[in-house]
Amino acid sequence: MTQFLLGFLLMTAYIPIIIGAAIPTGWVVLWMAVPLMIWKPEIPVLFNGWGMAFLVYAAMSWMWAPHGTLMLMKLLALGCVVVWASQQTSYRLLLIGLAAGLAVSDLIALVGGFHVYAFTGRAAGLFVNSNVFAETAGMLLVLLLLERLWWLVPVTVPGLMESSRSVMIGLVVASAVWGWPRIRTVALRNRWPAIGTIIGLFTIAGFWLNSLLQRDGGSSLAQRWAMWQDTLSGLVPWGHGIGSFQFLYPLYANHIDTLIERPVNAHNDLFQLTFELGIGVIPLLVVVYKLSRVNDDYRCALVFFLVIGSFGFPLFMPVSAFMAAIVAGRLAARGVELRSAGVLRRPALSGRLRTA
Amino acid sequence: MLAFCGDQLYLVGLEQHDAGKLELAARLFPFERDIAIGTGMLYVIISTDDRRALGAIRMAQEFDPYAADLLRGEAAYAYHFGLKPEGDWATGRLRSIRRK
Repeated sequence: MTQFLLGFLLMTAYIPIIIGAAIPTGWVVLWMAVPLMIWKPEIPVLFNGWGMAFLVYAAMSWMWAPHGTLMLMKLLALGCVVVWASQQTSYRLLLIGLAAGLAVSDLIALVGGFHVYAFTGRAAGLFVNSNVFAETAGMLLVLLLLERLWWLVPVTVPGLMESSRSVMIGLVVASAVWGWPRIRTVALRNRWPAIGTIIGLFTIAGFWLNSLLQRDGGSSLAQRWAMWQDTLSGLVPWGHGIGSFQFLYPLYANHIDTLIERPVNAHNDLFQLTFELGIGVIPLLVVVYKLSRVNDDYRCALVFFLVIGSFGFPLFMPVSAFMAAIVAGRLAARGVELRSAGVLRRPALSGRLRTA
Repeated sequence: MLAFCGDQLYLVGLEQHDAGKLELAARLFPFERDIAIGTGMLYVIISTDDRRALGAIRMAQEFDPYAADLLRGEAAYAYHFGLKPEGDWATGRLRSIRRK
C-alpha cells in the first residue's frame, strides 16, 4: 500500500497554478518519503563504491557551487531511492500507483488542460511540459511491460501521443536491447546492419513527420544544439559545483539570449552533470556501465532513460528521476544476486582460494 | 515541509503582488532560485515608484548575479529614479558583462 501511495502522490503532487509554483512538488513528496525508505538501509554492493564516490564528490562540490543545496538534496533523495529499491522484492504496487497517477494527467490532457506550449496545442496533464509528460509515460510504459502489467499499458497512450522524438528513439533502442538477445536465428543476426539501417530510416522519417506535425521547423533541435554548444564551452575539470548550471549558464550563453529565455537545464543530463561536476561524473558513468552489464531485462529501462536523458532533462524531473532510481536499485540488487550465484557456482575458484 | 510552505507563500505573494509574503517565502526556503529572487522579480514584473524596488532587485542579484532580466530591471529602475546605473547597460545582454 505504501508503494501505491508513493507512486500515486509522486505523479499527482504537482498541480499547476495550485501547488508547485517554484518547486516541482514531486521532490517534496520524495523528501518526505525518504526517512521511511531508509529506515533499515542495506546498501547494494554494486552501488556503494562508485555510487557513493559520486555522491561524495557531488556533496564536496557544494562548497564551490553558487547555490547547490537544492540539487544536492535531490541527488541524495535519489540515492536513498536506489537503496530502497534494491531491497524491494516487487515493484508492482508502485507501478500501479504511478499508473493511477498518470491516469489523472491523461484525463486532464484529454480535456486539453495545462499545456504550456499553447501554439502547438500539445496537452501535458499535470506535467505542464508535454515532453516531460511523454518521457514519463514512455518510462512507465517500459516498466509496465517489464513487469507484465499489460492491463495498465493504455494509461501511457495519451502521453506517448505527444510524439516526443526522444521518446520514440528511446522506445526503439530499448526494444532493440530487449529483442537482440532473443534473436535465435543466425541469418537474422547477420542481417542486423540492414535491419538497423531500416529502423534508422524509419526513425528519421518519424522525425521529419513529427517536425511537420509540431510545425516547429526543427527549432527545438536547433535550440538544443545551441544549449549544448554553450554548455560544452563552459566545462572545467572540477566542475562548477552541484546545481550551478542554472546560475552560471548565462556566462557561457553565446548562442541563446538569456534575456528572452533562461535555460534551467542543458537538455542533456550528461552535459549538465559534467558542467556541474567535471571529473566527478566519472564514478556515475562507471555505475551506469556496471548496471548496463547486469543480465536483467530492466536494462531496457536504463537504456530508455539514457536516451531520453540525451535530449531532455529526466534526471532533474522528480517522477522520471524516481523511476530511473528504481531501475538502478533493481539492477544493483540483481547484479549482487547474480554475482553471489556465480561465485557459488564456481567450485574451482573456491578450491583455489582454499589452497591459497 | 519548509519547501512546501515556501512554495505556497511564493505563489500567493506573486498573485497578490505582496513583497512581504515573497520575502517570507525566501526566508523559509532560500534554496530554490525562483523563491530566493521572488521579491526582486516581482518588482521587475510590476512597475512601481517604491524606492525599495531597487534594493530588492540588487538583493536578488546577489543570489543570481547573471540574470539578464534582473540586470535590465535594475537599469530601468535606476533610470527611473535618476540614478547612475552601475553596470554595463550598453546592450542589456550578459555577453557585455563578460567583456568587462
